[in-house]
Amino acid sequence: MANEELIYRITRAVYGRLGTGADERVVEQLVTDIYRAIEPVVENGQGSAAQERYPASSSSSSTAREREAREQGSEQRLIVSVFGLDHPGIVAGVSQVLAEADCSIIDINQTVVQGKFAMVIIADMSRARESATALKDRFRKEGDRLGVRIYAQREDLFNAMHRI
Amino acid sequence: MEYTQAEILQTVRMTEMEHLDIRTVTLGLSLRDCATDSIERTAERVREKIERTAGRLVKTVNEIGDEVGIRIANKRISLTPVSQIVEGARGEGSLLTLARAIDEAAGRVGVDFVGGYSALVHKGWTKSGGEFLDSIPEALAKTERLCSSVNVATSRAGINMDAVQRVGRLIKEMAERTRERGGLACAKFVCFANAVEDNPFMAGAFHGTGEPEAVINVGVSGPGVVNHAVRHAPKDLPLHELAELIKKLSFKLSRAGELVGREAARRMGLPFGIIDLSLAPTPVPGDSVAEIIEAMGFERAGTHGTTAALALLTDAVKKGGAMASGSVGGMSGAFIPVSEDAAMIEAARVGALSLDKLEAWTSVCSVGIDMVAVPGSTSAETISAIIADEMAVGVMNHKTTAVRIIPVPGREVGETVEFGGLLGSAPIMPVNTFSSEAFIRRGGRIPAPIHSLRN
Repeated sequence: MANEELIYRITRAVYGRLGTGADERVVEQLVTDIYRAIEPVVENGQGSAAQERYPASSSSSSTAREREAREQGSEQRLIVSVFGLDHPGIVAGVSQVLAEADCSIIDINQTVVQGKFAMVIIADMSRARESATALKDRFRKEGDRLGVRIYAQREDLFNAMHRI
Repeated sequence: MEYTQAEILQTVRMTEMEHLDIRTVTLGLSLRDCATDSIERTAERVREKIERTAGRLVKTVNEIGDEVGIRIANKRISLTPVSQIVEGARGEGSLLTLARAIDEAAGRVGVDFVGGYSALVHKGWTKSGGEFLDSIPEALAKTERLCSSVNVATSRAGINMDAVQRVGRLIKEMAERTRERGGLACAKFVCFANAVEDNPFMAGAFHGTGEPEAVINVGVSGPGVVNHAVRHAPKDLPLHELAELIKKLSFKLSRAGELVGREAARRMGLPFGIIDLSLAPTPVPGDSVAEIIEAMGFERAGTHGTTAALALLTDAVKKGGAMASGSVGGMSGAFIPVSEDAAMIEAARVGALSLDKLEAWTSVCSVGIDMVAVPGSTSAETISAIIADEMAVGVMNHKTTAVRIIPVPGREVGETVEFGGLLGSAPIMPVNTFSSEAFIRRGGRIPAPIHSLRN
């Protein structure tokens, strides 16, 4: 798992230097080269990289207030994770399902590395008109149509498993 | 984003690929207010109470599973030991009427097993209790979902060897009565030392007398998750670091279980009881306790050193669980049911795993001789002797131990018996052929150990 996170971080760093206009193929090649060069180091020190949070998120020591804010309504939020081979229309397809179910997107994080598509969406389902079962069923159908795997899980599961 | 991609991926991988599931949400239900002076009327009250209290259980739990995104494999009910609610009943109606009423009610509310056709006889039995024991084989043979257990020993009372002797005969009768189904009734019967009052796992679940009116208990599993982690850890990782790895995973599994349990309790309007974190294997490849042991560095589960490995595993699981939740209870260890664990079946088939090793494993996990098939020619006394050994391990070490053994009628060593579904299939394992008969026939009681005098 640490590896995918690392690849993501390398990709971000490369884009950061070259700008968003950079040639995709060049970026992909650079990321692959850098990753291969440091792979043995990563394998040995596995775990440490995975525990750091993204720079985008807040500081890693969470105060009681932060924790409270995080837990507030977390049973109303859905974490939708999408994995598969990249092709146009995946983001559109998934957000369409959410929109039709009256779920608004709170956060979205998407990346493509070597043709592999990974996206995580945090959605607010407090106004959702559909049950989780129905939503899940629609995600399954949409996933089949797009040729990707879509998993939807309540945010408090992640909160329970990964935060104390 | 609040969670790292690594964290999200880990959870998705656990739930979708490594079979992390909530093994059971078990509704514990008191039947004490159902007791009447007639078994028929008691049966009616029991039927009504189960259907009323557990009517929404399956639907509610399935909804939670869909929302949280974690599979909840089984929905079950555990009842007050039935022997205790028929004490005052006389006259019309047989115990079979009551057993069938429970079975039908369980079917109507959609649960796959209902536990609690049980008796606690670790020091003796009443007149009605004796009749109840004799009713168990027929009750299990003529119902589908009913599970039964008998507690024959505690660290406080010692081992009731009269009960051990009797249970040996009962097990033989169960096997005979379900001869054409490979002795299936025996798979629904557990004999305990130090039985746990809030165990959510079948077949040994019952709702203890110290429990509230109704309660939600949860059994979490996840051998697949631990197996994956151990397999992908460096081959030369020192054992204390391996223990640390397992402990951390167990923490996460327990937290997921507690989330589901509390939510289920809230929606059912019932108190939340305990979460039982026991690694319970399923026949699915990878979802195996034996594979975890093998991944630690053994050619086959059951060879020398595997008791130490299992000790490390159960202890790490307990430590992680205890840190994760203030409500850890039940068995909380590792289950080693031979027929339900693909790698265990294979280990028994190639002769790496013997009954003796399973008995040794009992000293470091919860249920030792579990779902073990032995030749149909095994005598009742030998079965009693196997039980006595297991009970001694539990009583002397102040821990729960149990036996679930199937003397498969007409089968011999080298053959296999199919139970289907979660119960899996089991190779017939050899038993020691030298007689224990004279010892078992003595009856009486093995006194409680000196350390029972703690006051």
